[in-house]
Parts: sequence; structure tokens; C-alpha cells
Amino acid sequence: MHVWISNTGQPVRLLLLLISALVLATGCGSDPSEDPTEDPQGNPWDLEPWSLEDPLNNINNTTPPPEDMEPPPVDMGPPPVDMEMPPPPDMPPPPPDMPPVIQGDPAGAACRSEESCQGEVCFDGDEWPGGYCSSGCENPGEACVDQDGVCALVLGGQSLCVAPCERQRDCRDGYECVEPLLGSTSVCLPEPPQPTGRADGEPCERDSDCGGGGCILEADGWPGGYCTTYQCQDRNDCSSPNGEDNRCYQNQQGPNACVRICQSGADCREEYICQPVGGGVGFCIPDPSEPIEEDFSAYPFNIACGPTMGNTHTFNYTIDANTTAYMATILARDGREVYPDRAALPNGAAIDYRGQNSFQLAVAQIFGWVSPLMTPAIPQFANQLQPGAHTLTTQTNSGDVCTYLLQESTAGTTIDLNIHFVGVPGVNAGNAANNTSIQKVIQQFNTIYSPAGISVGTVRYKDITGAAAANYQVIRSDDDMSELTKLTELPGMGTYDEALSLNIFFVRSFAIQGGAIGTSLGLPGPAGIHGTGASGVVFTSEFLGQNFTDQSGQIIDGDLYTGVVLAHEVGHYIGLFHTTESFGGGEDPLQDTPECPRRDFPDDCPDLNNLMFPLAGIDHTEVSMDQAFVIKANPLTKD
Amino acid sequence: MSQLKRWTGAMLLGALLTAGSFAPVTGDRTNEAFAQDNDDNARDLRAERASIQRLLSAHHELPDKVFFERASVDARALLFDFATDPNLFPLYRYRALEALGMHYGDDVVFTLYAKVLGKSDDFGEQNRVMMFSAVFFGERAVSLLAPMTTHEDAQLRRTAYEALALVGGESAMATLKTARQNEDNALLLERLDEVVVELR
Repeated sequence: MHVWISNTGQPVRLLLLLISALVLATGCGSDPSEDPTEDPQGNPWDLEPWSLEDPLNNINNTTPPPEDMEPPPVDMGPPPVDMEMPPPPDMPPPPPDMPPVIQGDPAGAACRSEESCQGEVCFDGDEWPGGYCSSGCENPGEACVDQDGVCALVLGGQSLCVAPCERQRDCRDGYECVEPLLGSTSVCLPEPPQPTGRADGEPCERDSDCGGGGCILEADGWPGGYCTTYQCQDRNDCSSPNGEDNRCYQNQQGPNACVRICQSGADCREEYICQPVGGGVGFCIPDPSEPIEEDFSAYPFNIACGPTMGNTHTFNYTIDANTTAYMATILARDGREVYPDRAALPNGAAIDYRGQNSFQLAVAQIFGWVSPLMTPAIPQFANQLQPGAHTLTTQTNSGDVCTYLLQESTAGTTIDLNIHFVGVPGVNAGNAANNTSIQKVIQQFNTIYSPAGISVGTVRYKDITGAAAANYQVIRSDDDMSELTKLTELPGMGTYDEALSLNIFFVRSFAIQGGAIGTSLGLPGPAGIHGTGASGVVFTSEFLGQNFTDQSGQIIDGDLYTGVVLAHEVGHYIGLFHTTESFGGGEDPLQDTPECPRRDFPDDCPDLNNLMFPLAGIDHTEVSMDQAFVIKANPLTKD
Repeated sequence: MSQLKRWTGAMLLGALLTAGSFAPVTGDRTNEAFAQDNDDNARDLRAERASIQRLLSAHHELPDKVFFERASVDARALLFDFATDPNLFPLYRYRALEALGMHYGDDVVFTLYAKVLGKSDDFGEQNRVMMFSAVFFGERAVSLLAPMTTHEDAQLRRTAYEALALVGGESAMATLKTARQNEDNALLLERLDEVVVELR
């Protein structure tokens, strides 16, 4: 996992602290090499009245003081205790061959005014406790020429003369001995202010908004900005003024930074997710929803994409008079969310996806970015199929929504498969057509689907190789499966018939809790499009070519068993639910599949032998009439 | 129109995404020995085994513990029998190992997992048990997973890394950092850079 860190780091925080001093030194034109007595106005006090009060507010104020301004009072009060006695004001300049005489107080001396610094600048704002004599200088890292001190680099390559130090006790109270950005001599600079801003993880626009002193900017991909504390060592360094759970991310590839801890996405701000890191916790990072990279312009059917206005998308489409079923698919190309609301029908009625058709939102609930909608979804909703103009409204937070429509005018009879092999021992695209196990799997599929009038049509074989094969031959997470199906492509020449094919992945092994056999990435899947995280089904090849005797003495043929698994997962992808869920409650929306009460699960379930029963079995092959209706209506089953 | 049968979307999500409880489950029946068949209960045991085997055949997530215990009063012992029978259809063995962790994640199961990782040469079994260890035993699994980070098979090493990343925490991350120093596979190094996340 990667964490994006802005370029703003701890050194910048320090530089920002010094910016007022820098600008004062340059903006005031107070070059210490200049002799104030050379002012053509003859006014040696031209900086004093405003530089003493508020240097920050006078950064750009170059207006000279009024000519009638009073000179400063003669009595400046006693000099600071550690202040050296100034040289006599009428001291003559040194001869050219003598070493330069350093004038004024040493850099870093306490001061109350310009006078107490003997002509150098006195920084006396709140951020400079007790005042701080300084001046501009030219050679960072070297001794100052005009003042006793060390030239230190500050913001934008400018530099100031500051007090050197070897240890903390060399600095006055309120100052810390820190390493300069350039040079080896440590210098005394004001201690950073105690954090008073927003907690780490909160939104921000600039570093100064944040108690930790760092703001990862929205421009860097963190929506609304993200306060952090850089260079942290542990959670104690993080800004958590109200007890927020922030911890220090030990970054292997950049500076450490504090992040907001979460247990779920609900703990994170909008547009952020909770990225798990194990142990039941995670941290809030920007939603990494990946844009769909598939080039939809190459497809043989119209996929219309465009920006959305507001949070509602409207898809207008027309259903032909001879259409027997259709799939309307809406997807967020930017990877955000779509959630269909209703489809207005030509007769004035509507399909209510939040009401009786809510089962059709399963895919939107699972994936977020896509929602394929079949009409009619089930036989008892046949009246929802109407020719004429329709309007589908969808709630979305996406700014780039695509829609497409696939209509069927006849019931399907064949299904084309694009079979991918991912590190399967002994089987590849080159030998699969002659591989006994693979052909038995396909034959088993045909046997199971034949009562529904469906058989396998064209079969294309493809190998997944290289890094992808190494990474995904063992499925260890849901993400692995999505990454695999993203590798699919519009097959063949990209014709309409070729596009309507189903991607199948045989992997070497499954190693995730649950899903030990296979998983469909759709219920139904978005027919016809490839290269997305919902473009296929994935299941294990582990049992191919193996025969085992179970504890009852029954011989289990691994090829036929795998064929059952393939048929089951394909059933999901073309729209079939489990007849009964494995927890013994919740059933599919079909009328002719038996219901199994929890008390009977599983041994006495009347749907035990159905293909879509949640427990696999070599004889779990039954397909009901209503299930056949759903299968044949899906655009993936063709003439 | 007939009333639709009940269907729960949230439950379906779990079925499809194969997500399960990540909380370790402590067994409430401890280490009972599996009673061998005898004349008195042979018929019942065969039926019980058939029921357990059926439950282990789940396409996706395993059924709740209540179904296993309803299938047999010795469900835990039967699951051990399934999990340790090398001649069994491997799917049942794999899923019995999972069920033991999910429903009875105790010391005996932990020891069984250790034995599998130490002695099994079944690729599918080792990969699965590593992930089960992480899910059902949390930080305790680090001691099981650490030796697998030096396995000669890169796929098994990778699963160990993923399992340790799932565990998280100080000891898991320390193990992963050590693994990174020793790993010479470029793809695995890339993955280690992603999963080594320390939050202090």
C-alpha cells in the first residue's frame, strides 16, 4: 500500500517560522552594509517606528515615514543584560587593510528595539521571545561578516545571521539549538509553537491549519486536505487534541506521518476509506476507487459516457417492440458509486429498485460502481417488459457515468466462454482443447444446462502469464479476483457476438476464508464488457483429474465436481441467486424453487439438489423453469 | 401477483464476497476424542458423517456452527476426522480445517494447524491453513507463519506474507521486515513493500 506524502516536510515548518524574519530583513531594505546616515533624507530612524511594532504587517510597507516624524526618545532604557556595550557612535571606519570590525550586538542577543541591536534588526514579535538581534548575510554556513554570529539559510535561499550553539543550554529560554539547513554549526532559533490547530486526519488547506504542522493537500490527491505530523516516531507525536486515535505511520519510502485510525469506513471522512492493516484496525486514506481503463469506444454497441450534474443521473432508452428481454447497465467510469432508483415505463408505471425489485441492486451493493439491470428479471415481473421510451434514474456520486443497453429478441441457446488459465499445472491454452479434464468440465456444464436449453458455444482459451500469473495463481483476497478479471479483453475482432461472451478463470488454488471453490463477480455480471473488476468468474482447478472416495464410499470425480462448480458460478453471473442461503434463511426471488426452512437445513431441504443450492454436490444439478427463464433472458446466452 | 419469497441482500453480500467473521472463535467443547464406530452407533455415525460432509461442501462461506452441532453431537471430533484424513477428497479436508478454526479455534486446533504447516506437502492445504491461522488466531499465528516466510516455494512465502499482513501488529510486521531483508524475488519484494505497514 502506498501513502502519498506532500512535499511539505518538517524543514518547511521551520522555514515558515522564520519567514517573518526573512521578509523583514529584506522587505525593509535594512541591508546592514548600508549606512543609515547616508539616507538622502538624512533620517537615520526611517525603519524604527514600524519595524518595532509588527514586522509581519509591514512586510511590504516600503512607504517612508513622514518627514516630520519625531526622532526616537533619547532614553532607550537599560540594555538587555547579555548585551555588549555598543561601540561609540562616532567611531571612525577602519582602515582598508585592517580586519573588519564587527559592529552591533551578536546575532541572537535579546533586544527591545533597533537601537538595542546597534543598527541591526531586532525581531521582537511573539515568536521571538525577548527579541532577537539579527541581520541579513550572504554565505550560509559561514560566520557573519557584519555581525557576530553564523549565517543560516532560510526560506527561498535567503539567509539571516543567527546565534551559534553547541548544546541546548547555549540558547536562551524560548529558543532551541537546531541544525541549520546548510552548514554544520547548530544555531539558536525560536522553539516551534505548541500545536493548537486541527487534529491529524482532519481537513486542511495549509500547514498552519494543522496542530501537527503538516497539511497533505487536496491537490496531492487527499480530498479536502489531511492534517498530519511529519517525522513522527510514535502516536505520542501525533496531534490528537480531543483524544482522536491517530498513530504514526512508519513509512518505508518517505517521511513518517501521522494518520487517523479506523475500524471501518464509517470512521473516515467522506471520500476516504478505512485501509485495513491487520489486527482489526486500519487507517483513513483517500478512496482509491480506480477508474475503469477499458476503452469503451472500441465496443460494438453504444456505451454512452459523460459527466453528471448533481447526484442524479438519467438514462433515457427505447425498447424495441420485438425485444424479449434486455439488460440496462449503468456504471461509474471513475470507480465511484451508482445506485439505481427507478425506471419509468411507457405505460406510466415504474420499476422500483428500492422496493419490489430491490434484489436487482445486489451488484450495486457489492461493487458500488456498476449495476446491471435485467428486465424482466424474473418471470413474475414479465409485465415490466414494455416497448417504448424508458427513463432510468440513478443516484450517484460519480462525475463520469456510462450506460449501455443490450436487447434480446429471442431466448438464448448458447453461451460462449473465454477460459483463462492462471498457473494451472499441466493445462494451458495450447493443450486445453485436448485436455480430458477440461473437456469433461465443459461437458458437465452442458449436461447441467441442457434442461434449460443452453449449451456451450465458442470456447476461447488464453493463458495468464508473467507477473499476473505469479501474483494471482493463488487467490488470497477478493482484490485478487478483481485484478484477474481486469486482465480480460474484448475477444476476437470485437464483434457484437464476440463481446457477448463470459470470462472464466481457472486458478491454481484458493486461499481465502470462504469461497473455497469459486466466486462470481456479478449477480448478474455486466454482460458484454471486459477488462473490469466484474468481468468474469474465478474458481479453483485443484480437483481436476482427481478421483477420491468420500467417507460414505462414493467416488468423487474431480472433473465432474469442477463442472458443477463452473455451472454454479456461471449461474450467479447470469443472474441466479442461491435457492436458500447457507445460513438457512433467505431465498431467491423465484417462485418455483422450493423454500428450505432453517430447521431443515441442509439435509431435508427440498432444494438440496438444485444447481444453486449453496452446498456443492456432484448431484446438485437441477435447474427449475424459472431459473431457465433467467438464464435464457441474459444477453450472454445467445442464438 | 404472488408474494415474493424473502431474500436478504445483506446476507447475499456475505455469500458472494466470501467474507466471514474475522473474530477468533473459542470452542465450547474441548478435545473430546472421536468415538470410533461400534455396533450401537454405527448407523448414526454414518448419517452424521454424511451431514457434516454436506456442510463442508459449501460453495462459499461455511454454515454456522449450529448446523454442524445439529448434524452431530460429536461435530468437533468428526471435523477433526475429516481434517486429518489424507485419503479424503481434499475439499472436505480443507473445509474441515477451516470449520475447526472458525467454530472451535482453541489450542487443539492451533496445534493441528501447526502440524499441517510443519509436515504437510499439500500445496492447497498449506496455503489455506496459513490464511485460516491469521483469521482465526490473530497475533498468535505469527509463530506458525514465521517459518513459512523462508519456504522454498515462492507462492507459499507469498501466502505467509499476506497472512502476516492480515494479522498486523508489531510482531507480524517485525517478521515481515525480516522477511524483506531475506527475500530475493522481485515480485515478492514489491508486495512486501506494500504490506509492511507499521502504525505506532
